[in-house]
Amino acid sequence: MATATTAPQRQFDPIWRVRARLLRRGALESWAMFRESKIGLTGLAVIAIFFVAGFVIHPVLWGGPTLPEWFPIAGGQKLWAPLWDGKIYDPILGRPLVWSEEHETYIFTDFPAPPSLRHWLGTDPYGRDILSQILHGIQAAFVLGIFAALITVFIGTTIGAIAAYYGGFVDTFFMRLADIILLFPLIAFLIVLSGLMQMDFWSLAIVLGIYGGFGSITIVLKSQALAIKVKPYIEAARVAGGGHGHIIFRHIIPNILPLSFLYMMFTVTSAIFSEAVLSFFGLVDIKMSWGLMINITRDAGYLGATNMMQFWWLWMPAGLCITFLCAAFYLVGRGLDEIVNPRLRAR
Amino acid sequence: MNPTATQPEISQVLRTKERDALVRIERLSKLYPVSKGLFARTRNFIHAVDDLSFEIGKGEVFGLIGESGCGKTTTGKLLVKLTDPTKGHIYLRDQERYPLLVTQGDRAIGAAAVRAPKGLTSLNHQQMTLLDVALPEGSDRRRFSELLQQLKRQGRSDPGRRAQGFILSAEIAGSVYSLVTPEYALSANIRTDSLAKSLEQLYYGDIAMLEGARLKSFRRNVQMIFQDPYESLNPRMTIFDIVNEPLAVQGIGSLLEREERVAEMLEHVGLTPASSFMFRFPHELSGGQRQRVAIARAMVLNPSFIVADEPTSMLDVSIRIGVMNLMLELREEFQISYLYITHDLAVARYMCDRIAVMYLGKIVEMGPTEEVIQNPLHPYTRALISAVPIPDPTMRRQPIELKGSITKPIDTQPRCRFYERCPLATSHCAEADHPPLVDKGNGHWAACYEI
Amino acid sequence: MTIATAAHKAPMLEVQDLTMHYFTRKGEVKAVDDVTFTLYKGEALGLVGESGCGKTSIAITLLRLLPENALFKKGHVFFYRPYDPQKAQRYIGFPVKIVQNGNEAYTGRLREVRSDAQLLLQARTNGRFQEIPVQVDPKAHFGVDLIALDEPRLQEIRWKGISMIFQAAMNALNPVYKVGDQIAEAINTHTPGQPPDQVREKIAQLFQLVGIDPAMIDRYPHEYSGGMKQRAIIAMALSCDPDLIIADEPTTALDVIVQDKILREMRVIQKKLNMSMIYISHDIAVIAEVSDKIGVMYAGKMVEVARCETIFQRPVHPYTKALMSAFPSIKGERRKLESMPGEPPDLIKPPLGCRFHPRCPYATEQCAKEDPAFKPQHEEHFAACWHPLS
Repeated sequence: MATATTAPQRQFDPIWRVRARLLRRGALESWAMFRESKIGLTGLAVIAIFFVAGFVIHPVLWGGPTLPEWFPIAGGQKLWAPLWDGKIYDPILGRPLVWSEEHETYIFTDFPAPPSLRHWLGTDPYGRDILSQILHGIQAAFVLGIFAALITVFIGTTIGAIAAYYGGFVDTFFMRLADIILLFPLIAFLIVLSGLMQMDFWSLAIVLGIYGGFGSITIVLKSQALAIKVKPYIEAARVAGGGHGHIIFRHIIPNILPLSFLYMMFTVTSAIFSEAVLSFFGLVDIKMSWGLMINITRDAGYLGATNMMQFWWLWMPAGLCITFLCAAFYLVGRGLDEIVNPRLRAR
Repeated sequence: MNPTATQPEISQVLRTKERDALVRIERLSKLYPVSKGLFARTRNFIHAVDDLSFEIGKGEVFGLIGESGCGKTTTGKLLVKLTDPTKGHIYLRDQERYPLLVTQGDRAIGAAAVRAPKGLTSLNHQQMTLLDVALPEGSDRRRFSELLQQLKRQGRSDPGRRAQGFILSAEIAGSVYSLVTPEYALSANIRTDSLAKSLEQLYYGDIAMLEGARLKSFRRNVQMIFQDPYESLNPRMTIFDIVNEPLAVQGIGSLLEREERVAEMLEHVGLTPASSFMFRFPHELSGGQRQRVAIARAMVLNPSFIVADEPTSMLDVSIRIGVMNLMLELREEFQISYLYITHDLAVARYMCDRIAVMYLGKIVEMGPTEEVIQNPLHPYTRALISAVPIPDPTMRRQPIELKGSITKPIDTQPRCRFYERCPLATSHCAEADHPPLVDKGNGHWAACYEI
Repeated sequence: MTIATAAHKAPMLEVQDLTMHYFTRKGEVKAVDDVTFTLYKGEALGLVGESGCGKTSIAITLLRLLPENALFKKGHVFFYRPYDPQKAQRYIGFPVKIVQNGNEAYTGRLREVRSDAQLLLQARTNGRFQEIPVQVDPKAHFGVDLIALDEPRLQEIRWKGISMIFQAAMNALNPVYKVGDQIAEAINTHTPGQPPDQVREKIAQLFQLVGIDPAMIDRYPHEYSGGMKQRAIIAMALSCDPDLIIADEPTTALDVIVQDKILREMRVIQKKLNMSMIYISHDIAVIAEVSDKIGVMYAGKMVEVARCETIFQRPVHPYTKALMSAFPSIKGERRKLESMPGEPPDLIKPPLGCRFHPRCPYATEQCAKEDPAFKPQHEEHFAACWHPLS
């Protein structure tokens, strides 16, 4: 065996730079694997489309840059004002058009109006533009879904790792709690909760996040953490003198994080869905969301069995958006599944 | 008692201490509860390790041989404190531990072990840590502890006498007490009465009861190498992180110093150049390289004792010898002792100075490797050795047949564990307790009535 | 390349230029490359090599139990049985090989069984396909190419012709069925129509043969010890009276005393029933105990095949020699063992030329460029090396 000859002055890169490089390489490798999953890519594409529509197109259309006061034409107004008339297209405050001699425009005598050139997806029962409501709803869905999922994953990962590591009473307590939450009807619980407290956007996200975090994700992550806990490298860490915190945070959690991330995708789906249901019942204090759009349609009496198909543009765009965005996050989750579980991977 | 008559005793202690064991295990037992049936009330116990006693010398490779379920891995885990013993003691000779005598006039009234990381001469006695005390029969333990505390507070010393072994002295309640090394006591003709025996014990710390910070510092001395190099390295950590972990956990050195230490260690175990291995992940390395990383991790704290649990059994032949030779080289270089756990007698013969053969939680035979393998005494060892295949078709073996198969030591009968399968068993074996390990000469011990 | 059949022995299995790769995302793993060997009736061949050298891949290629990502490249595996015109009828249209009178051999696609003593083969001679009538000796050995067979015909050969004991097969016993019933099922599947009493009688005989108390037939697997389970698996492999058994690491998970017992019993059974055996193991000591002939594999290649004693006393290939000196023994002198430099190669990109050359102390430029042919070095001693040791 070659005995070591110590080089006089070894020059390493700073550790943080090496770590950044490793992180980048790891991300690229994961991306290369993810790219092979067709369903994952499909989901990602759909999410990207929604994202661009909600976070790029919508804010731009919403007004674009404001023109300076001195500007000869429409000074002080927003750039797209002629195109995107807040009076017409505002998803919440847009008001119905009435016939006017001086404007010489089309009149919508009856609201809701079907799709037209001016209102691509028609107008709602109050005469507001459906398309701008849809675009506005994207932001709500994204922010709520991801915020709730982050809370869920944070709680689920920590609790799962701790329950697996300590076992005994801690484990039993959190597992029974998860059982109770699993048996608990979420929607009914949220309805009751919204009666007890004013449920706004953020509080809904937090409630959904906490609810999810103590639920099934804990059981899944705990079982994964149990498999990690018995690995010899945990024993090696103990022999090195590592304490409980060290083992949980340096060894167990990094090894269950990929699975947490995967479950985060599924949690986004359920958060978006729950919000839609609650808004549909009109229980959330929210300005505009897809669920609320369907709620408005129902309240105005357009969701009856006889006239539902006739006024399809009132509910179908919102319904499809919920379906597509939920499905997209689910598909990304499935794509990630193939990275996390090598068994599913094609060789 | 005649004072001079006790002096040979203490010189005996001082003489043997040099060659003495690094690890000393006394009557170690580990029982695991098992419940038979789903709702069974009675608690039964597996005697995984039963009344084990042995010693491992400094720089010695001690092999623990046996079939699966014989308790060899449990013994290893007990020694690194991955699990706590049910009964018994594990004594470890600690480099930073010094036994001292407390004298009153020309008589020693008690002994205490103190911790002195940088040696006794530079010991700051006001902050010294007392590890253990030993007292003659009938002494008041509490009064002695108070006395030690007072000595700690009021003690004075001068460097000149310190170097001779006179640590400090103080006048308490009208009489002069001092703290001296056993060497000083010997030269100053201090009466030690019956303390000599317990003094010997003070060289060792019982690790069975360690907790908290003392357990953590114990970890620096004792490390472990695991069987499966694929499972014993965290797949999400780089090689640097893995080898650095013990240093980081123990808070040794700055990041830069640790980097250098890790690189030095990697080159020591043959992963050269270190810079090309440091920031790779375990899955990018072969089995042999991984096991070298595991060895580097175990060695990085400079331990005095390493438990190696079948470190080469998962490795391929062409790589195995390299790892085995590396372990032997490191032993020479750093004077490390190994407890080498294996089921493979041929490997044990290659690696170990002494071996102990285990059967159902008991040591049945122990002695120098060559002596045990060429001249086995216990019927189980004989059968085991006769069953080892030999990589040479010209050699014919004479296999010894054993009845039955290995069982689990659940609520064992008070007789020889090997009784049911033993070809030599007599009625005496059926009635008597499990035979004790008896020295049969040449340091060769066996536990059997019929040899 | 064909190996001339030794005149006095009946061939059992002839493997020619067998090549099988695995497809993976990183590239093609050249797991088995140009492997050639012959096994005779009543002979035990030990295949030894390190993990990933392709020894298990050979076994599953022989029986065509390949995973989905396996790419069969080329080669023949002729499985011989005594010539029987009735049985030969079954293989019309498939490649066969007839070996008779010592070294007379005919290879070709079987066209017709004209009479008990005459076959019509279609073979390629001088670049053209021709029909050749072959006079068959009644004592001829009739070989079918397992690689070319279709699934139903192959299924007839599995278990009845060749059975396999897989690595850690003792864990494959179904815990909810009695062991005897599981063996009975194997018998009934492969030789249907036997009365239950007879099957039971047969299982009792098998149990006695492998050293289990026949009273254990009606017990469940959890009542068996590890060694007994492995014996039951051996009994199951013997249940359809195969001509050849392939045992892949049959005793690796077992303790040394049990391993020794089972190996000795297998050796006795093999001699008693005059069966052929292929043992696969990483442990050269185990192989030395049970084999008549040893094949040493390295990195997907067969590097040396010879009789057991020959390979230990006069190894030709440097890898064989290094492998043997890397094994500690409990007998003989206690000497310092030399470790082989380097590591086994990545089979996606194996080294050019001889695959062992980067680790070989005798390697020359030629070794790095050209792949040495697997050729006879002495009588019944084959090796692939440019610089044979003896």
